[in-house]
Amino acid sequence: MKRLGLALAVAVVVLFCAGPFLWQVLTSLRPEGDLTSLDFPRSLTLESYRSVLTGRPFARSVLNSFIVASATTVTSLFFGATAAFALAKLELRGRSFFLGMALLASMFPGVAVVSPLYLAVRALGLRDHLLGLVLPYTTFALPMAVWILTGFFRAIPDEIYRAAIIDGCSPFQAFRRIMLPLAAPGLGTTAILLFISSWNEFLYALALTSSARARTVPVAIGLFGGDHKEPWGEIAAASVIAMLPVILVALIFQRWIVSGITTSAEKR
Amino acid sequence: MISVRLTGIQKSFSRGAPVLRDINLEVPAGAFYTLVGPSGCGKSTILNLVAGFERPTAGEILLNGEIVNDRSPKERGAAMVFQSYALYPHLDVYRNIAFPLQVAGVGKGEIDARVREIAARLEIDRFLDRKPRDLSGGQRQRVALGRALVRRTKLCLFDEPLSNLDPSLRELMRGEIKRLHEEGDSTYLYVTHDQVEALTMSDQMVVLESGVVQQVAPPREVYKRPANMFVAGFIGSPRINLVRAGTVRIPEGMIGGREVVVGVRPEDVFVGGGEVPEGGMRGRVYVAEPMGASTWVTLEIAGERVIGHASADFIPRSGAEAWARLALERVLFFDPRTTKRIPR
Repeated sequence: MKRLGLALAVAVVVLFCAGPFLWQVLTSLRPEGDLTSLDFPRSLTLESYRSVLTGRPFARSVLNSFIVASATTVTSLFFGATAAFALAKLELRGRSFFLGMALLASMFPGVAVVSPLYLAVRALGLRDHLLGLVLPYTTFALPMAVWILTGFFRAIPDEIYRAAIIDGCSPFQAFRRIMLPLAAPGLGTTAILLFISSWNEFLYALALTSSARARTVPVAIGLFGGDHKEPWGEIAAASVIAMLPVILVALIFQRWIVSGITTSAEKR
Repeated sequence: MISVRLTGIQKSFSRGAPVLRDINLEVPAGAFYTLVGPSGCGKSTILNLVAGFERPTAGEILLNGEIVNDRSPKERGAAMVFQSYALYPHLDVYRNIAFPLQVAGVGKGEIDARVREIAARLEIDRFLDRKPRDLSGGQRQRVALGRALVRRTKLCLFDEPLSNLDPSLRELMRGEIKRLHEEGDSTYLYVTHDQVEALTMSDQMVVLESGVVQQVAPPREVYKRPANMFVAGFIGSPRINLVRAGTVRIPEGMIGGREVVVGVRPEDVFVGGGEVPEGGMRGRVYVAEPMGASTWVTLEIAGERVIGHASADFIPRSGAEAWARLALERVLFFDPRTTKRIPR
């Protein structure tokens, strides 16, 4: 009885969270005329997927998004991890000031900085260019990475860092050989968060791109609408396709998180 | 072998009182010195200064006569065993021990030979492929020792390495570490708050309190002739009795009219029941604690408590009448103002 209740509760929560997504999947499979009905569809079709992938440069947008999100994640993770290690374990003057600034920078609303960013990117000649997205994305992703990773590096006992130093490591060797592997769960968590936030970013991408050459998925989907009707079936199909890389990345980095959890616990 | 010298060392952190005030210490090459004192006395700070993790606010640190204040821990080349062991959780036992050699660029074959040799010596060769989390506390402690000793450095620092072990294991490892020191030719600097470790292991004890060295002497000397009332009270268990001269009967000739505090170790106070012997004092039993081989008896004499020992079969009730007699030749006198011991 108790188990049944628990199972029911879990089912409700899952349905509540996954419901909109499942609805979207269903919509993407409906035939054209059936789109706005609330009934379960009588027949399913892959027509929407075909038209998104052949009638539009959508595959290009997915590739763009993937490149931009990956590049942003890798860059921010690299510089973020080195900075976070330094902030957490080295004796630096003004580190709380630096951390405060990082937090502040990651809290700026996008709207507030989009115009100066636009001018800067245009001056660099990077408008409608993938690099012209990676750089602005790094401005919000890097502070976020620093902030989250500092916490993870702090959680590693000082004595472990000191042991590496006394064993003859330079600070960078200690970072690479000891601290980085121990921070793997933090790197995994941060990577997922950075990838998702870059993947979903809309405002900068809208302002800084002007053609399919550099357009990313959220902007591409946003521009699907024509003058007379919204192509709901295609939008649904496109958003389902857009989820897949995110799920893939989450699954990859989740392994890091789990492996990290089992290697920690140095005492007891 | 490496000698260690500290001259005029002071250390204060950004806020708060100085942790070390004018530490002067000379550790000859190859010696085993323990730094002992209550928590907060600055003993771990001294170790961190020698290792190179901290810089002194003033004073000089010399290794083999060379000032090393500006040298990194790596350049100083000391090995260290940490209180938490600080093993690398993602590496197995073999790689933990091999790590300092790998960093130093030692060849694979030599690394393997040295790791296996030290692992066999410490009896952890069966666990080489295990991760630290799969080891017991005692095994982790041995891995930490192995990682320090495999380097064959001439200076080993120990920061309370046994304090996380249970008592029987601690006793065993005390002997092991002492043996390892005798087998090798390294200088050992060993921090502990456990007076038994300091008494049993070291050539010389350095007793510290509030950032000041109270006494440097061999353990037996510290015990028999403590420099002051703090050292007398800190070393020895049960604690030394420190009482007014009026409480216990001291022949007038011994103190010559001065005002003194009398210190007498519990094993130098003999307690018994029945008729009071020559030179004995009458008192009332506060509590008796049978220890198996003998009984510790706390007496109330003239309003002060004095602990002494009695034969194993003397187990009086609290409140009973008893007597105490001092071994006068081993009684210590302290100046109540300076707390220093007055030589006899």
